[in-house]
Amino acid sequence: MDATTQVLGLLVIVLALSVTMITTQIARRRRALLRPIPAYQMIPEFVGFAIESNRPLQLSFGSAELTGPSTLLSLASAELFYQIAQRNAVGDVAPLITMSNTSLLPFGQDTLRRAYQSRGRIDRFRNTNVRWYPAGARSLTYAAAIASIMGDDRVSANVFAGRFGPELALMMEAGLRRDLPSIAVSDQLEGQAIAFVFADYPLIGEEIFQAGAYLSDSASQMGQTITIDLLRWVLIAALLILMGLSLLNGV
Amino acid sequence: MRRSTNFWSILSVAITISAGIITVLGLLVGDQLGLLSTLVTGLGIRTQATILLRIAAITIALTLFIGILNLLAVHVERIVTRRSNAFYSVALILSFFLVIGMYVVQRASGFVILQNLQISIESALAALLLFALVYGAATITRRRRSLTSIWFVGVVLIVLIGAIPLGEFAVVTQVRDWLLTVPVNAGARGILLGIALATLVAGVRVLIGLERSYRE
Repeated sequence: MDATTQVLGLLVIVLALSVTMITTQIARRRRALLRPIPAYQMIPEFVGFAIESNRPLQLSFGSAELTGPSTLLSLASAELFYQIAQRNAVGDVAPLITMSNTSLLPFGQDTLRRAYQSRGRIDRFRNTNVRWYPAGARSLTYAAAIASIMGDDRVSANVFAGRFGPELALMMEAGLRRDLPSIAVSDQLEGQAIAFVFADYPLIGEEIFQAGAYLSDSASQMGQTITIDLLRWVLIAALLILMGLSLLNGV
Repeated sequence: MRRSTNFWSILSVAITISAGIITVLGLLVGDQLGLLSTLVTGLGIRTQATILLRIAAITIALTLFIGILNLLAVHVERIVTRRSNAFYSVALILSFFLVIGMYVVQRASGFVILQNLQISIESALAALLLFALVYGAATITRRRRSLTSIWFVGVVLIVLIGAIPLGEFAVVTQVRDWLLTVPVNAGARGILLGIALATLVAGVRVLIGLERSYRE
């Protein structure tokens, strides 16, 4: 890594750090108005249906992991699953959290445990509601396992939030055949395209990182959403300026 | 009880922030950044970062055993509670011990089941993917009637027809190439940039101790 890249890397981190701290303080004083995202609006309905029908929700990390580029995506997905599980904790049947990477297994169990503990229903928490299914080649074994638990465990709805490739089509098609509503998002372009086509309520790209802001009153989560928006505008401005400069140089 | 919980939260936040800062500095700062480089070298931050990464790698490797135990626990529970289709759980547990047994007796035979059974089944599943995708494209117009879905199906058709190597479809092939090079490429970059920005901000939140997952 050359010196310029190192300096730029540090500058970007310092900029993001400063903006995050400032926006978190602002969000503590004043609640920002967020644009509606249908997937997040539907979560109370998903949870309500799961509780009334006494059937579990299936929450899937896909092949996200804790040791690679998808580490922070895993944290974002866990936040969404935490919010869902916390709402679901008043019911009798706990949601199923599944993943194909073992590094997420203890993390998934902790997410579910915290959600149940926060509602004072830790007695309802079971480790076996968090399940690891081996990925196999191109995660197809995992996809087959998820397709089968939809029937075996009488799943009420699916939330796919994590890392998925084309194998997402198999899982979502199985859900469609059983008429199960779904929310889906992936950080992989193939998975994202399939999520957009198959899911009843798709999330797109970075929307998965905003679950906490939409589903809780946390000022720090709101600060994160505002920071992402601000940095996005900074990036757009930088792209436009660079484009203008290259056009001028071209002329 | 509450005091104890707070203590562990503070401790885990302190460990996370320290480990995060050490790893970022250890990986990002090289030898050409003057005072900062001297500081990182002098404090042995690169060595500490390497040690932290090794600890993480070992911990992650251990989670494989947790995964296997979890898989067995889930299926044993299914058998004990006589859930529907418990037969498949019996088959899984028997296969598990059979493969381990075969591997212990004769190493090469352990791969026989993998090569002859699992890979064949996975290949069949891969072939099914095509049908699942076509089914998805066909149902989108029925389930979500909107301009976007019609647009989506139209683009899918253009891309599929454009891939046919026939002279009659030369114009469609040109449209397909333009679609893939310009709007698809731009859209993909937009989504990836959005994810990268959100990942950066999420990483910064971990570094300053705002992330919930290790605070509770």
